[in-house]
Amino acid sequence: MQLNSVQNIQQKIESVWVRSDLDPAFIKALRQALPFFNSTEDSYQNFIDWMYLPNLCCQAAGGQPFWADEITAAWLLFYIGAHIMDSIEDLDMPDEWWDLQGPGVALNVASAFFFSASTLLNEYYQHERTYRITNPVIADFNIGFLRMCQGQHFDLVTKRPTLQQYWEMVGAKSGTFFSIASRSGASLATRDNSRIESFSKFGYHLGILIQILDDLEDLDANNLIGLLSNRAQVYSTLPFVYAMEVSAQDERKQINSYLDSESFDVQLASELIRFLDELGTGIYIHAEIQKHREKALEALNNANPAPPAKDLLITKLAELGKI
Amino acid sequence: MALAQVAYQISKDRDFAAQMRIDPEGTLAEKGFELSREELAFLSKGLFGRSEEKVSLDDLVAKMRGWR
Repeated sequence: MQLNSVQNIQQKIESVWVRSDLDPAFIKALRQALPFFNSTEDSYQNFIDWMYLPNLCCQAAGGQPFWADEITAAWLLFYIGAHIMDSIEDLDMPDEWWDLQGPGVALNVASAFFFSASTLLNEYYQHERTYRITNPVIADFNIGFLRMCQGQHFDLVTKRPTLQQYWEMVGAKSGTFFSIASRSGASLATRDNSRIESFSKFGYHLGILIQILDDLEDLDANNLIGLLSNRAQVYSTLPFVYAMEVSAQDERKQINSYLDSESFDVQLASELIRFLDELGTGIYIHAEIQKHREKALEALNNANPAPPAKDLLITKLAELGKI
Repeated sequence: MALAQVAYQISKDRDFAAQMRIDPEGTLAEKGFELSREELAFLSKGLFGRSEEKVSLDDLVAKMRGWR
């Protein structure tokens, strides 16, 4: 079923490109940015599972999962497009497919994804079942992404965020992004605003949880070494935001001296992680993971979800960040 | 941002950590910390209620490695 669904989503996306009479060479370039469609690598499995969030929320709200295929396809394209732009803005290591061709090519692919996504959402106007909600869904996407741009702006200009600023930015970016997927999928199947709002809250806390896990992944010694070329990015991840906010001056100096070391290697990175842990970083992040997982679960239960999507969402949520 | 302050205190102040283990709600009230229901539940059951050692930051990073 899952492979079939991946193909459905891929077909929806590619049909936009074919109908737009795009050159096969450009379509090939666009496909390169969506490697998971033709990959059997396990590393994409979690990503692919959460990619169906709109389908799952649609089904959990009482609809058929395929009703949300266009939303899932659009949401995926917005996600990949935003990821490309984020990588360039943060001066991250380029993905393999645009490493040689440069950021200009990558930015153009991201632009193409945004317009493809917009075209996919417009397709809901063509169906009797969905044309009434097409305007609100499109407006929701547009306003949500505008807010995400605002979150990204503050992320880029705030070099040393406080914890409060961090949570505001994460909520505006990751929280908003996943809440759009959840409530737009659910809104295809129900007009009950309180259920839709609960699906929205579920997505919001899920998005925050996923961002925390991403930040933890950045703390892996090898990833941390890679991130050091952009110091502001290191100080914008949760472990460092927490530690720089709560610790004493001499402890902050110690953190800075680790990061300033010219011989920063895996061993030093491990020492730094131990030092951060002595400041309570592990306890704090563990508590935040549990808190947002609990809040996501509570919101999901309030949405009165129907099986089998209910069970799948609960299982996937429990697996996420399981300690 | 009370949770952050509490996490730091638990790690730096042994007396505070010991009091938290016995009476989390009373200890937090005495110090003037207000936590949410979920935060309090984690500290009283998830953290101090665990039979094994607390999860280190290193463990968290290792468990989240390649979570996608």
